[in-house]
Parts: sequence; C-alpha cells; structure tokens
Amino acid sequence: MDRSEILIKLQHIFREFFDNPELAISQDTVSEDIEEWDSVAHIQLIYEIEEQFGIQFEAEDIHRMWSVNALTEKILELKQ
Amino acid sequence: MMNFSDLRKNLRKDFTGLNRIKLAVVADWSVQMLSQALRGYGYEKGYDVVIYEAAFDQMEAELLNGESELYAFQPDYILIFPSAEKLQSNFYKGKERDGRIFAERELARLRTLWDSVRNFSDAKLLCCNYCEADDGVFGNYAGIFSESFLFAVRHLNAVMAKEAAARRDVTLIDISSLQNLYGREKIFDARLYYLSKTIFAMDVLPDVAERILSVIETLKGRVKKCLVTDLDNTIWGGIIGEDGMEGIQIGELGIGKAYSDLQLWMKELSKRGIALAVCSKNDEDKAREPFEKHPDMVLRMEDIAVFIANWRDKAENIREICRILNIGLDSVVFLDDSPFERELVRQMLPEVTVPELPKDPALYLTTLQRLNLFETVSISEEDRERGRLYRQEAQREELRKRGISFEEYLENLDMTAELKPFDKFSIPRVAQLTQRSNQFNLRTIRYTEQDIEKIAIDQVNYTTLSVSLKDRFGEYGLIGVVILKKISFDTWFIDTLLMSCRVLKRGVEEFIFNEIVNLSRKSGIDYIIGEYLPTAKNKMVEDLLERFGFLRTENGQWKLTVADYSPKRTFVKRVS
Repeated sequence: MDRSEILIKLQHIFREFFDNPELAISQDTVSEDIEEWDSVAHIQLIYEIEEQFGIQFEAEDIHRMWSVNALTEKILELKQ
Repeated sequence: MMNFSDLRKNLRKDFTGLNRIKLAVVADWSVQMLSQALRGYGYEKGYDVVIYEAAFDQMEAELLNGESELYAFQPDYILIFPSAEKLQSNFYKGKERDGRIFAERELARLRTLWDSVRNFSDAKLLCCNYCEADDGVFGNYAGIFSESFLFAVRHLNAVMAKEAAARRDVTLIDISSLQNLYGREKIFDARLYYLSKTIFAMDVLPDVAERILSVIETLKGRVKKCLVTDLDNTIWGGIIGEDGMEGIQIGELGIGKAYSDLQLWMKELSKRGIALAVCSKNDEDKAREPFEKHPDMVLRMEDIAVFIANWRDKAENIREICRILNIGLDSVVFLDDSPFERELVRQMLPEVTVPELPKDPALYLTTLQRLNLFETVSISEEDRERGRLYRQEAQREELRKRGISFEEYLENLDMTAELKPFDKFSIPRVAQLTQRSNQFNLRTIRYTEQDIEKIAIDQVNYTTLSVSLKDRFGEYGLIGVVILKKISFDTWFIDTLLMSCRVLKRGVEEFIFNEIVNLSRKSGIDYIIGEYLPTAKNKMVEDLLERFGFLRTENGQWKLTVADYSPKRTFVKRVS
C-alpha cells in the first residue's frame, strides 16, 4: 500500500465515522481541524481504522497519532 | 445486539418525542463510552436517556453531599457502578488482607452511599456488582485462599446480594453474570483500559447498556407476563398431526432432549409467575394429546393457562389470549420456529416481542436464555401462584361462555374480599402492584417497598387498604391498593387507587368505593378528593371518579361529599 491509497481509505473511514460525506482530509489534517475528534472519539476512530486495515497499533502509539500524517506513517510501517 | 459503532451513530438522530429518562452514573472508571452506548441503545428502545456523568472516581463527593450537582440534576435513576479494577487497587494498598473483612468494609462503604441516596433523593437506585477479576497471584489456589483478591471479590458479591435482598431500596445489577456469559477474555480489553480507563471492551458496552436499560424498563412497569408458544418443531420435534405421538421427538434421547430442556425452562418460568399459553395451527384434540398422554412431555395441561389450537391466523389468536388473560399485547413474548409466523406477528402486533430463533433447535434454549426476555426486579409469593391464577381465569371464561346472564354469573361466583391496612406480609406485593399496574390506576405513582413501608408506618397521615379477592374458582390474592392521605381534619386525598386488570367489571370497583366511604364515615372524614392523571394506558379510569359521584373542582380534581354518597350495588361481600 502506498501513501495515496492509505489516504483514500482513511478519508472513507473518516467520512463514515464523523458522519460527514463531504469531509475532506489531507496529509496536513490534524485533530484540531475536526471538531468532533476529541479524546473519546480518538480511541473509537483508531479501533475503526485497525479493523478496516486489518492491523493493530500499540497502546503507546495511539497516544501519538493525532494527525492524518502520523496515522499514515504508522499504517505504512505496519503494512510492510 | 448492535455493535458499539452503530449505537454511537444513533446519537446524531432525532430524539424529540421519545420518553425521557434522567440517569446519573457514578463510577470509579471512565464511563463516557458507556454513556454513549446507553444513549444510543436507549434510542433503539424509544427512550431519550439524558445522562449526568459524575466526576471520575468521586463517588463520596457526589453522593454524600446533598447539594451536589448530581442531586441538582434531579435524576430519575442513579446508577452506582464500581469497578473490580479500583477495588483491586484498594485491596493491594490496604492493610487488610483477610478477604472477608475487606469485603465487609467495602460493603459498609457502599451502604453509606446507598443510605445517602435514600436521604437526598427520590431517584430509584441501581448498583452493579463486581466482575470477578483473577489477578493470577495465587493460581488455582486463589478460589479457596481467603487472602486472595479473587476470594475477596467473590465474597463481596455474595454479601452485596444479601444486603440488596434485605434492603429492597436498591436494585442490584448482576454484571458478574454478564461476565460469566462472555468470559473475562471477551469482556475486558486491557489496551482500552490503559488508554481510556474503560473496564469493558467496546463491543461489550452495548450488552452492558442493555442490562441496565432492561432493569430500568422493568422498574417502570414494562414487564413481560406471558409466553405464547407454538407446538410443532418448537416445543417438540416433528409435526403431531403427521408424525403422531410415537413420531414426535421429546425425551432424553438425541434432539428430543433439546426440546425437553426447553419445556423445563418454560415450566420454571411458569412457576415463577409467567403465564404459558399455546398457539398452534393444529386440530385441538391432536395438539392436546401429547400434553395428556405422552410420558416424556414435561409440560402438562395444568401448566398451560390458555390453550389455543385452530386454523385461524396467529395474530388473532394472540389477541384472544390477551383478552382472556386481561393483559396488554406488550406483555407477551411469542415463540415460533416458523419465520413466516414470526414475521406475521411482528408486523400485525408490533408490541409483542418475537425473538428470532436459529434454525437448529439445539440452539433454541441458549438463544432464549441469552435474550433475557423476562427481566424482573421482584418476586412475590403471588407471582408464583399466578400460573394457577391465570388458569382459573380461563375456567371462569368458560363459564361465561355458557350463556347465563351476567348478573347470575356474578352472583354465582360467591366473591368475597378482605380489606386490611398494609402489613409486613402485604408490602412487597403492594409495591409490586404500584410498579406494574398501568390500566386501572388513577395516578400511576410507582413506589418501592421502602416507600410503602414509610406510608404504612405513618398512620397519622395515611390510611391504607389492601384488597384481596376470592371466588368459587379460587383466590386472586391481593388485587387492589388504596392509599388515602389526610390533607385536613375532615378531608382525605386519594393518593393511590389501583386494581389488577384480572378482576375488572365484576363489582370490585363498587365494593372498594363503598368500603372507602364506610371507613371515611367511621374516621370523621366528610370529603374525599380524587385526581386522575392521564397516561397512555389508563384511559379506562378517566371517568371513574365521576361515575362514583365525585364532582369536578376548579383545579381539575374531583371531590366527593361523603354524606351524599349512596352505596353501589355489588355481589362482592366483605369477610374481614
């Protein structure tokens, strides 16, 4: 999987999760950009991403992935 | 059960018009996700669950302080949800290692919390017990060693159960039992716990929410009273009309045992007070035969309150069953192996609960048990008698059909009644009636046993009457509750007047009013004020007070001048 494929898939997941079919994300998107991306939503979003990509993050990493960029990097790493 | 993600999506939906439930949750773990599950699942059941989340691990601060934000929220329900995780932390830090003593101390702490809720709030109190978490320190020995955490938590659950049974002002929610169902592996997600202090895995939260809401619904009076079951391929294998008595599968061998076990469970339910009814597409005599003659049948005719076997549609038959038993369609659970019949009933009678059954009959019983269809928060002696009572009701119905005049029929019933003030024997049943009676109920005020005790003791302000009825066919038990509040030296207010639907329209209403007026004369009371509070279910008593000679007052209440009352005709005679 390459970065652009990951981004497309992430955008789909974000749109479903935040219930906003118009939502547009990019590599620069951070949690502050999306109002509902708070600490409670964050964990649920991560679990959803794990399920869709068939991967599992470590607890400590989850705390550090508050941006699309950080998510992409980690997904790339795990999909290697 | 829906998964957590679907429940969360409900949170965006339109909650207007749904029944509002105000719930305060007090916990020593992070309940934000549980709140989402509760609200999301509540939406599915038609509720707008508004939740106050107490500050994290501040149980004493929120509950012991009468001025706290929690009490200011004025919840209808308060849920205390302690965790095994925090308990374990307390156990390790503390000096007390004897599991029994540690458990008693924790119970004392809970008791203080429960007492303060009773002091400061009218909310109904719910409290969860603890998941048995084995910390793996003592291996298999932990179970019997009194200084292990496992021993302590098991002991604590046991003493909590005992205390809750004795107090009756707290409803214990058995979360430990939920863990038995799923197992610790599935219930607990260590990563989620370390990330968010949530003590349940995400996809178990819907089940936890379901347990809690199920108990709340039961406290609100939404109980299931009757199990209507099909026969062929539901409670025995095969089709009686085709396979005959020798061909149907029932008994100890093979798949027959799955059916026998299902029947055993149904029989236990009927002993508990759930009415069993049969609704089968069959010739009646063929359908009855196994009940009467098959040696391996567990259920017999005397276990069945209403037996309907004909070729009419099942929705019509279920309506008839409800009519005979005098219960609402929403009190019924319907079982049938046929997806066609299930869907028919679901569509034509949406208030009836129709569980989905798997194709394999070996899985029927565990599926049904898991659905927890018959939640309850109290059991009284009369519950146990109910199966028999429902059967007697069916017999009375038979007599009516024979065509004598209604008055002759009533006279022949030889109805007698006992009226007594509430006492320690009747209090549980009185409280239960206030919780369950929806139709013949003037004000629909729900009381716990604790509330009724308070009223019974206060003989200066309250006059109470419990009404028990008996006729030729048997005893009905306690069927009427009257609570009269003295609001001035010569005036009573009817705080509660309710009757079980089983005894309507046979003169008991007339009897009760006659007795209330007699009692008022003896007590120097000249006026009785009544009030009708309309609900979706009590339209039948809309004009009750007017029918008995009460006159409308300016503020919408009803007033009776005792001197103007003339006794109404009734065939019910008082025996004590």
